Amino acid sequence: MTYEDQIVTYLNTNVPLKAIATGGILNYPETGRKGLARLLTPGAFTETDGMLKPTVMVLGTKEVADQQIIDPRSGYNSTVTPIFIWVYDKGTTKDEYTNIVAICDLLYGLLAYQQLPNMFQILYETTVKNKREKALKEAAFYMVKYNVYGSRKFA
Amino acid sequence: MPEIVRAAFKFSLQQAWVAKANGDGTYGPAIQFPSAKTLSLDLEMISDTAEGNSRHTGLAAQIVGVGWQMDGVNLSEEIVGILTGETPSSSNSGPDQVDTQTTTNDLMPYIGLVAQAWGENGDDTCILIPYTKVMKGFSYKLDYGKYITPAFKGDGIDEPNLGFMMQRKDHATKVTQPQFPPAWA
Repeated sequence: MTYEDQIVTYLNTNVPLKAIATGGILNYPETGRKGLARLLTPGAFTETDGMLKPTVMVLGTKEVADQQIIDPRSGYNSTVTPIFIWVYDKGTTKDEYTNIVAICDLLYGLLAYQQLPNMFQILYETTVKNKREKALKEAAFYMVKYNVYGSRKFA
Repeated sequence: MPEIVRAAFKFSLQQAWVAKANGDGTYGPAIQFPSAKTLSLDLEMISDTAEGNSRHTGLAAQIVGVGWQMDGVNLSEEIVGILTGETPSSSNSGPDQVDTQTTTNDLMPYIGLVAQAWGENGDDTCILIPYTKVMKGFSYKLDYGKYITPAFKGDGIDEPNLGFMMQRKDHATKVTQPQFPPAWA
């Protein structure tokens, strides 16, 4: 299981988070070629007006060998994998970023300094705030970045 | 699944604690270093080399102490009080409260240090330096735009009752908080 799969599975066990993230907690690959879209991820959208519900999308990118630990014999490489988490909401004047902020606070408590199986630790890096996504009808979003410190070795 | 993998690597200073050492294998209340970033350890040795016939013919080396340095954020009054023996005092309350900590030429007390790093299998490594003093320095600076980040340097020797100057324990299931003796396990 990839680190992002583990994180999505783990986040989906948290009842308070799921109560706010009514659009779902998703791994980016499962949203299809075009990301969040009404046809492929209908659960993330309100049926009546097609606006995004509070939705969490997790993307793991560019696993890097950080050169801290190497062992050519066992194939061991210590690695750092950035995990980007987009937290969306429809972002109308009434709702603004309220749900997004609440979700990000919950994510911090669930992920920062935590350890899931087969990794050393998840460390928080940054939050990009108060953004709008043109492709999703100007949906509001924050983008949060965590780094997973883990490893690879020969099977 | 938690397990000790003996060749495995450990990650990061997860937590570090200090307590007054009573010299009999027991300790005062443990206080956590707020946001400790680095604990450097340095086994100090005495050594000698035998020479003869134009070559080195023997080597001898022995551990005589353990040097350490702790870099942490925040001038915690409790931490400074334990490390230096300068107990803070408090007066008034609420918005008028004042805490005072005075530095004089007191002798440094004996303290114990304990720290933890994590493995990637739910395991950990804990290090105990049971009998040590701040010997070489306690420094910090007030710098524009920066946090005050004190550094402490000291030496450790065998604890009179426990009989060692440093001990490491690897736990198959990481502990929530490493304890000082007699709870150190």
